[in-house]
Formats: sequence, structure tokens, C-alpha cells
Amino acid sequence: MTNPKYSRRLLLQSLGVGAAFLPLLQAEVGQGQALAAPKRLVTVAWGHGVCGPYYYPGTDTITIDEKTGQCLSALAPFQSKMLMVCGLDNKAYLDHGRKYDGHSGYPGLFTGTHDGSGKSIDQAVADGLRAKGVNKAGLHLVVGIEPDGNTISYSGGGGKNTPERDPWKLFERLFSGATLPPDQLAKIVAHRQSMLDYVGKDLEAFGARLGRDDKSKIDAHLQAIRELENQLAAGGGGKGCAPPMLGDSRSLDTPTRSSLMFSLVGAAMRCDITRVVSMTFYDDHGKFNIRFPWLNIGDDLHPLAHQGAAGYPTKSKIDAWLFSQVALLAKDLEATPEAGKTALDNSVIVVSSDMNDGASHSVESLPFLLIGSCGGAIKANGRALKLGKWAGKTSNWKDPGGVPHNKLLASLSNAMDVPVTSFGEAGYDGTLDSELRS
Amino acid sequence: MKKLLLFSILGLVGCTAQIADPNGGSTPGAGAGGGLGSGMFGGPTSPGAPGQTGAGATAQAGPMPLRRLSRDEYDATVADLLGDTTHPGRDFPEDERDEADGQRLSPFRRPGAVGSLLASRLLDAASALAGAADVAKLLPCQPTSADEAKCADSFVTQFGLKAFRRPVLPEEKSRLLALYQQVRTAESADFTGGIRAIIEAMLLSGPFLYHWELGPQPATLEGGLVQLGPYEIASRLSYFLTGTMPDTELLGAAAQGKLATEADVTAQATRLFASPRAKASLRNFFQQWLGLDEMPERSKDAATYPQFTDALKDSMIAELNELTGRVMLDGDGRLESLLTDGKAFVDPALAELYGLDAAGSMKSPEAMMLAPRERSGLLTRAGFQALYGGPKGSNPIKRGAEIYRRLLCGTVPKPPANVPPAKEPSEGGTTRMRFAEHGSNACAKGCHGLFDAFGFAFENYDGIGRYRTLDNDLPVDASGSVLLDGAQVSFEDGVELSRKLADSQQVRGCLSAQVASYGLGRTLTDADRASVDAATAAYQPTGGGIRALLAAFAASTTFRYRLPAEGEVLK
Repeated sequence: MTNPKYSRRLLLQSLGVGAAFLPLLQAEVGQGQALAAPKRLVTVAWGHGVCGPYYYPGTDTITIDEKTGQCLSALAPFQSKMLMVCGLDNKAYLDHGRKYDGHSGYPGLFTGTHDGSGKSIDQAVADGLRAKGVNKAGLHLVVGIEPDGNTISYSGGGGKNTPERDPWKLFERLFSGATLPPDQLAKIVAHRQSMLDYVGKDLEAFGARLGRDDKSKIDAHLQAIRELENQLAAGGGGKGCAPPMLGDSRSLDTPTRSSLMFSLVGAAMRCDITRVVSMTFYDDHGKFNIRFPWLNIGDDLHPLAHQGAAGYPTKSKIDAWLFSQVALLAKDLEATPEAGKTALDNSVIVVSSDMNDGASHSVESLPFLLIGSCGGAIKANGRALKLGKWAGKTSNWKDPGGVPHNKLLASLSNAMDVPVTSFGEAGYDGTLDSELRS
Repeated sequence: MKKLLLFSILGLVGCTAQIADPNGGSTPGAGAGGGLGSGMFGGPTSPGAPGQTGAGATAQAGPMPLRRLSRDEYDATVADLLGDTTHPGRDFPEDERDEADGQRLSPFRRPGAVGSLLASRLLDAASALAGAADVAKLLPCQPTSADEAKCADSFVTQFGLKAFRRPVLPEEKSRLLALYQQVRTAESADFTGGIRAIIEAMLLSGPFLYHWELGPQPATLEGGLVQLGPYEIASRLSYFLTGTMPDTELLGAAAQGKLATEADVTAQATRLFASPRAKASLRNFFQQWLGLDEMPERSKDAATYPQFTDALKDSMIAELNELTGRVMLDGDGRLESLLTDGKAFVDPALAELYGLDAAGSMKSPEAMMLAPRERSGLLTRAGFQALYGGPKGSNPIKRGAEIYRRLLCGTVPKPPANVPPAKEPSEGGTTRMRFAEHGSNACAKGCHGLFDAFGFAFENYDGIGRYRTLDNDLPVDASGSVLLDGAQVSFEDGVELSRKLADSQQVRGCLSAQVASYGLGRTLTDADRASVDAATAAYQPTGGGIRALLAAFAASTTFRYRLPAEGEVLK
């Protein structure tokens, strides 16, 4: 019988008792064969755009100088492994009269649709990899930093992927396989398999007579059950890989939660538990009361972003903190040798926002920053790739570039070896494959 | 059906002349349901619905899309089913806002689809609940080793009736007993372990997690509508009025077919109002309708309003809860009372904000009354005004839009984002002057003309709801006029507007529509209009208060019938 306190117990182990297993686990890694080089995709976004003058370079090279350093300095160690893609518009929104709808920008950001009706790139790539038999049971991780809010990850058909927002639960999910004695784990796995098998049959029978829309809800539920079955069948997560220590701080202020989440995601990637991750920082929706006391900033993010240029000196400090969190993950991956390179070289972290600037809410010229070359598929060498009407320009960063961001999404899919010729809503065909490669 | 139809129409003619509008729209102000904004009555009836085109010609009911138990419903249900006190639903993802394309469709939250995250949370919860269950107490038998199988069988029957809220079907029973056997053999579980596995499985199954108590028997068709079966009615009624699973008496009534008539439903509704859970459920409705659950995320500019602490926020919400509780649950349940009652519910901090005797608020809290010229009813309370006030000032546009949306069921157009914000106080003028200019810049007639005046009425309250007669050193002008019940209605200030809203048939109609949307767990359609109007008709100044409204809606056609879904197997 499953221990009813299974979850709690696991948690305690992860925080203390589990440390006893660590030498063993590390030894396993030591003896294991050198890992091949899995490609990985991480999407990260937050609301309210970036402060253009503190972010964009005047030239075609990313610069981190006195001014842009106030926003990007934490990423300086990875400057030569980054690619800034400029001039990408959320065309699907623009063509549906949603130019200034950046506060509801998440549904379109990684789906390339005007309403979140398609799969986001993380979901599409995870499905594509699974269909190819690559990392069959691999978790498609969807993580949220705030305790509530929206997601950037969409499952197709309008469904949202609910982010995991609890670091301890995420730990259990990722590393339960690594923290329990094998016989106990085997018992739990067998019991869960019986349960999932029962639920699958039950839901099939339950959905049989329902109408079309209702049945699709049950189908989504069944799909989720099958994902869990796959993960169980693969023997749980985290085998042969050391989980990070969460520490015993139960304070879940934003910086703590954020660093825990990024270190868990880093570990999940290093350990090859997951190859596709979506991370959402702040709600879009124009929510209020997002504050940064640890930066000694009293302002609420939303009104601050609305100030436009007047607010840049303060808001860029917030942007800088957000980029510094991404830098935690980049650092983690960069420090992991992998097939003659680093895990960062084999990955691509894609950072963006729901709008270009907090004062205008415009979804033109979204800020896309790529870190890592995805196993060589992307030439990330410190370039600022200025597309469309941005080509050759040095300023006017709010101007539309005229290039649908769908093309970048399509190229990310190609970089992850899930080949496509278009992504998202019809009418925005094509890729940026050659631009990203050369 | 014919008889029922006649009854509902007769019930309505006295109160509304709008019911047979073939376009399904109604003219503002005319009749009980008149003036309900299109915000509440969404799209057309479900496609493929038979014989539902002529509005008013046949009895109408809307669709019943499959719904999952909400987090609160899950917690209340496992508390009643298993005696749980741990609220496992709090670990589930939040129920979603009811919205499309960034626009709120209703103030209520709706449970979202089950993805892998929720699926794993449900597994954790079921495992913990089954493990903690007092099996001996739940068992209908005390088996010897020889008749364990028989006891497991009768457990599935008896416990399953409660867990599935309808009798367990033979194929469901065999699946559950097969699981029981497997766990006993493969996992070497003892009898109790086997029973726990049955409980765990039931908590994960469709009939437990979804509001759908039909089972695979044929649906009962009447005209083009499906008549809900007795167990479906029992559950719908129970979750609507008490937020939890049907109690023994309701399940008994369902078994005996005693939920088939309007009178049966009304009798059960009256009985359920006495349940302690009825209060909690109604409180939940008011929380969501008025947005009180959003208070924790509100923040104000610390320099402007240093006193707006978490403690003060709590006191403000406590007052609003107390007011709705005393008036709507314990009191006469009338809208007029809710919008005009002057009794204060304060602690010293809130008393001070109101200019009341803080020490007195400790000694004799029952005696505290608000100054009648300054305040009357819910909308004039500091909590409501702070909730929809701005971070540095009053924000009449936000207040107006929220009142228009929540109390008038109006649709607030999406603000164009390229409009410059209203000027800062330092640029001079009262808030109203500055916002009036903003409103005339932005979508003037089609947006601000609809709702700004509802906000200007409350200009006597600053951003945290303190009473004022001066704003930026100039006298406050809170007068104006709004379109209410089809006529232009003028007022001097928020106190007078509150009184006029309290007398408004349109506001009563909106409350009725909000109750309906909450109870049905979906956006309303035109097919719901007659049922909503019937509930409004039961909610008149001389009538039985909010409970009469709830009971009337529970007895209405759209509550007890539904449209067949497209592609559904009915036979």
C-alpha cells in the first residue's frame, strides 16, 4: 500500500535524510557512460517588455556597456553565446486588431496564434520529440515563478498548461526516483501503475457517451494520465543524477522561489529528465502589486512600466534582476561539460516578453534573446540579428520590423530537429533557418 | 412539460413584457430581466439543438457542459465523504478566470482542464485521502476472512453511491473489485489495504471528479430538452446551494424519485438553506460576484496611503463579509438592505478611517452606525471603494466599470491601450475633472458614457475609501445621472445612487443572472433568459429575499433541464 504520507516523507528526505543517498547517486554518475549531447529548448517570459535603450545595441553586435549593463550585465559571461533577434512582430495579434494588447500577450507569444488556440513551441517540440521516439518519457516541464498567474505554455485547442509553482513539489516530481530506496520505489511505482491503468479505463468508459466538447475534456484528462504512465514506465526521474539540495528555508519570497526553480530546471536538464521547459515569470494581464522589495524598489511594476522613458532607470533594474535569474540557468548549463562542449552549447534558452515596452503595450518588435546554440543549429555568437525594417538601423527600437515572429518559432522547432516549414496560425509561413545559422 | 411551460410563462407575464422578444435581446429597463447587458447572456443556443429557435414558444434550457469539481467543491466533498480536514484542493492549480481574449465573461472562477500537473496532484490527494480514511467507520460490514469479498462488494455499492453521487454501475463495480483483487495479490495488501485502493480509485474516477451523474442509461427527452434525472438534480441542487455532495436525505429522495417536480425541488432547497454549508456557499458567491477575493493582491502607493496595511485590508474585507452575511444570509436577504444598510462592522483601525469612536468599537461593536449622510450600504463601504480605487487616488473609471459590470451586468468594452493616462493630481483639478478629460479623449460615448457616472458618484471616497468633501483642494462633485431601468436617473452622490440601485429592477435582474451563471457554472445563453426572469420575479422587495431567488432558480427549467450536447449519445 502506498504510504499516505508519501509526499511529505519524500520532502523530508530531500531536505535531510535523503542526503545519505547522495554519495551513492554521485558515484553512479561517475561510473556512467559519457552522456550524448541532447538538444534542449527553454522558453522564458515575463510581462511589461524591456527598456529599449537599456537593452538594444546601436550596432549589429550585442553590447553590454555602461548603459545596457544596467539591464544585461548578469549575462555578460555568456555574451559570446547569445543571439538577439530584432524586428519580430506578433503579426497574428496585429492582424486581429490586437496591436496594443500586450497585456494579454502570452497566448500568442509562443503559439504564433492570435488567441492561444495552437500549441506553444515547447508543447509542439515535446510532442515532436516524443513522436520520434527521442526521450520518449521526457517530462515537458512547465514552471511558474509567481504563486499565481498565467502561463506561456499552451497545449493546443486553446488549452493551457498549468505551471508547477511549488519548488518542493517540482523536486518530488523530478527526483523522487533518486531519493527512495529501490524496493520502496518499485512498490510505489507498481501501485501507481495500477491506479493509472484503472483511471484510464474508467475515463474511457465515462467519456464514451458524452458530446463532442465534453469528450474532448475527458480526452485531455486521459492524455494527462498517459503522460504520467509514460513517466512511470520510464522508471521515474533523476536516476543516476544528483538532485540539487533545496535547503530547508521555507520562506517562499520571490527571489527564493525563483532561484530554487531555476536550479531545479538546471538539474532536470543536466540530468536529462527533461529537454523542453517553459518558464513564466509574471502574469500578463496587467496585474498590479508586483513589487521588488529585495531590489529596494518601492514601485509597483505595472504603473512603473506605464511611465515609459521616465521609468526606465528604475524599471531596467527590475529587468536586470529578471535577466540575472536566467543567467543562473545559463551558468549552471555552461558549467556542465557535455560531449566536448557544454550543456549550454547544446541548448537554447529563448527569453521574451508579452510586449515591447510597458508604456505602449505594443506587440510589435518583441524582444527575443537567445542564449546557447542548440547543438550548433543556431549561430549564437554575440550577434544582434536585425530583421525586416530593422536591418541597418541604429535606433527606433519601437518600430515594427514587419517579420512575423512565427518564423522564429518555426526555426526553433527545426533547431530541435522537429522539422516544420511554418508555425502557428496560417498565413505566416516560412522560417529564419538561414538567418539563424549564418 | 406543457404544464410546466404554462406555469413559467404565467409566472412571468405579470413582471415582464420582454420575454418573447424573438431576437432574444431585451430593451433596457423594460420588465424583470430588462436591461441585462449582453455581458451575461452570451452566444446563441448550442448548435444542433433541436427545436430551440422560437424564443418563448417552448420552454427553454441552456446546455450543461461537463464541469469538474472546483477546488472548494473538492475539499467540501471529501470532507463530507471521508471526514477530511486537510483541504487537499488547495494544492490544485487555481480555478481559472472566466474569460476569453483577455475579457472577463463573468466574475466567477471555472475549473480548467486536467493537465499532467493536476493529474499528478489528484493522484497525490487520492493517495493521501485513502491512506488517512477511517476504513472501519466507512465499512458497512465487519468481515471474517471468509466473507471479505462479499464485504468489499457491498462497500463498493454503499460507499460508491455517495462517492459517485449515483448508484455504481455493474461494470464499474467489476473494475473496482478487480483492482481490489489485484492490490491484494500483487501488492500483498490486507483487506483494509484493498478497501483503501477502492477509495483511492474512486477519488480518481470520472464520476467522482465531474458533475455528471447520469451514468450510461438513456437520457429522458422532453421536447427537445433532456430532463435531468433524480441523481443529477440532487447533485446540482446540493452543489448550487451548499457547495458539496448531496446529503443522505437528498440521495434518498433521488432514490425514491422525489425530485421530479418543482415542488419537490423547492422543498429540498428550503431544507438545504438550514445547512451550515449553505452559508459558506452563499458567502463564496458574494466573494466572487463582488470580487472580494481579489483584495489581497491590491496595493496602494505607500507614500499616499501609508495606513493601507494588510491588517487594514483584512478589516475591510471582514466588514464586507460581515455585511453580506448579516444582511443576505441571516437577515432579510434583500438587495435594498445590502445597498442601504448603515450598520458598521469595524475594528479600531477601520473605525478610525470612518471617523467613528475607535474605543467604542471595542466596547460595543453592535452599536456602531455609519454617518447616514456619508455612507449607506455595501458600495459606500471603505472596502469596496478601496478594492476598486486607484493606487494613488479614487479612480472613478475603474469603480464605474466594476459597478456596471458586476451590478448591472453590463459589458465593459476593452480599453484602447494607446490612450494617455489621466493627468497627475499635481497638474491641478479634482480627480473627476482629470478623468472626465481622459474619458472624453478615449472611447467617449461607447465606453465611458456607459459607466463613468457610476464611478463619479463615489468621488466622496478617496483611494482607500476615506470620506472627503475636498479633492485636490476643490469641492467634490459626486452628482450625475445614469441610465437605469430604461430611464435617466439622477443623484447627488453615492448614498443616493445606492438607494436608486437598490430600487432598480435592472440590478435585481442582474443579481439573478449572476446567481444563475454561478449556479450553472457557465456563461448564460438566451435560452436561460426565461428561467433567470422567473428567479427575478421571485426576488421582489416584498418577497422572500435571496433565498427565494435561489429556490426559484433551482426550480426553473434551465436548472432542471438541459440541451443535448452535440454528438452526445442519448439512447
